[in-house]
Amino acid sequence: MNYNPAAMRSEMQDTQQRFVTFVDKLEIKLKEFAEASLPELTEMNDNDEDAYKQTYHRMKSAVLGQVDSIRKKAYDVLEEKVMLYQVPWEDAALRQQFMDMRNTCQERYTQLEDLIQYYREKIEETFSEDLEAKYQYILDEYERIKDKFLCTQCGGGLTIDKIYFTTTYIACPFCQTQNTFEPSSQAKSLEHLGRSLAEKRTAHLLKASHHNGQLEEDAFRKKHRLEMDMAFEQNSREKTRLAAELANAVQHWENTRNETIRLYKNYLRAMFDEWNNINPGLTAEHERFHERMLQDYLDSKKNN
Amino acid sequence: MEENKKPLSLLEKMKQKAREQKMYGGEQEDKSAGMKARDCPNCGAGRMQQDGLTHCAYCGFEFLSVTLTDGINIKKEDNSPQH
Amino acid sequence: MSNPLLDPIHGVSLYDYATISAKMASGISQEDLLKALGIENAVYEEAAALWVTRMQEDQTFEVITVFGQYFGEADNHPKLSGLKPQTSAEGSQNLEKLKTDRHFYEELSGARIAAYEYGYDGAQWILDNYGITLGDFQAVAVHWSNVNQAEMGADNYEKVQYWVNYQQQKQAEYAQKFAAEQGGNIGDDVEF
Repeated sequence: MNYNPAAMRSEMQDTQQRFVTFVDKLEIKLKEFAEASLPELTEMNDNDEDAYKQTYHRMKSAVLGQVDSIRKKAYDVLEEKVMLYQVPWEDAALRQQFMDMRNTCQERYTQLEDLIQYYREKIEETFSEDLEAKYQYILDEYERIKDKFLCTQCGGGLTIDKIYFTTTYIACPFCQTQNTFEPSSQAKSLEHLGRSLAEKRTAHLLKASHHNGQLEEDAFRKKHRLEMDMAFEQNSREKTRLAAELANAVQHWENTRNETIRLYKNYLRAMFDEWNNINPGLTAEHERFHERMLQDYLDSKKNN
Repeated sequence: MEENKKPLSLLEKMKQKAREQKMYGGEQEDKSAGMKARDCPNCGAGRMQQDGLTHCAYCGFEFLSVTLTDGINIKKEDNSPQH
Repeated sequence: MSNPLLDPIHGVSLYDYATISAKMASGISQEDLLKALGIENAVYEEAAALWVTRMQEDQTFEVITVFGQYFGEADNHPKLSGLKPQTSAEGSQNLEKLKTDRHFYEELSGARIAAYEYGYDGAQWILDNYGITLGDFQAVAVHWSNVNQAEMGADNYEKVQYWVNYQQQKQAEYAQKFAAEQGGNIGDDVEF
């Protein structure tokens, strides 16, 4: 390969500088755009009348698309101008400079990605929905309509004896005619809404389990480190001391692990209790789902 | 000055597009609860609880072409007696 | 056949349920579908709610897997195949092409992703531009996903990678087109 070392050195220097400046400028654009879009999205979320907030979601998707276009732009240049730059591998000095350039640019790109991630989360946080209010609407509606309907055949009063979330047959107590009762759209969403709401109401319990999971990981690492130390320790007195320490660490890890499992079970039970409470019509089915989720969780714990 | 205008004008355009788009399947409208009844389209007889849900007790018209199992509120017992 | 989770609910089989889901995603009314099946709303809504709980309690994923396969075969359903969405001649042609021409399928898949990134409802965009409904598109997706699985099963990674790249390339092309329509992307002024 024919090459001019001095020219390559200055070319790489130039590329590195230009890349850093390039990402600086992209970051400014990103910040400007994202900061301007956050209040707009919050406003759209709050004012979207449609229950599915379609307009808001389309806008959010487009904003995220723009944010990602910045990442793609930086990545394409990183790949083309930096990663695929050709240096004569036998030239140690150039090789070193190439690796430095690559590391510097890669690091700058990673910082950009972190900023993008930060804004992605901010953008996602503009979404909010009041599940409690939606549930309350269903409860209020039920109170309002439960004695309102009349038999289509004889005009006798019909009682809606509970909140139905699927269309159902209600027999007239006077003439025995089967009337078909169709719940409102809101009431039909009860099962699905119930799960989201139950999860929201018990989120703090799930968080407690996750938090303990972190402690469990720390305990596991400590145990693992001691096992390594033991394996390489030659001195028998030191080995005895390490063995005792390891036994403690194992005990601590097991305790922490059991606590994580206990907390998760606690969360799952509370979540399903809430869900059953909101939609008792499917309690038996929920319980089988509970069993399955618990089994999945315990299986995942077995594997690590 | 020009620099600052671009993201805002783009945002405005994006907002406008998001508002103008129609949703796949059309807007979902909220429906309120309702009550109705279905008479036998064949002989005009009413549908009585004791006769089950699947067939007309008078002329045998098939209201439902399935055999009901134990569901949420509808149960096996809601099948009309054999005729 | 021994899995009781696959048993019909109120006589509504998993094939019925999957077909109704697919047909509704193609814009056919629930009313017409239930009439063809000979059932009323009350029966269907219970069955549908219980099919969801069957999927939830099924640790083996069999119910959801079979559901997906049936979704792809919605057009062969003995009682419901006759119910088709109103599509233009061009739409039917495009749908046929989607089933047989994988390049076309991957292109539209890439376009759909790009559409969402530019604030369009991707499903509506496909319907507006190609006359293909979401239900039909998803049913064809099941078919190509099976083909893809088979290629992976045969360790044909070169082929798998080819299609991934092709879809990405098409996605980028459509992204460029959508960007041009809205007057560019936010980083356009920044030059390397």
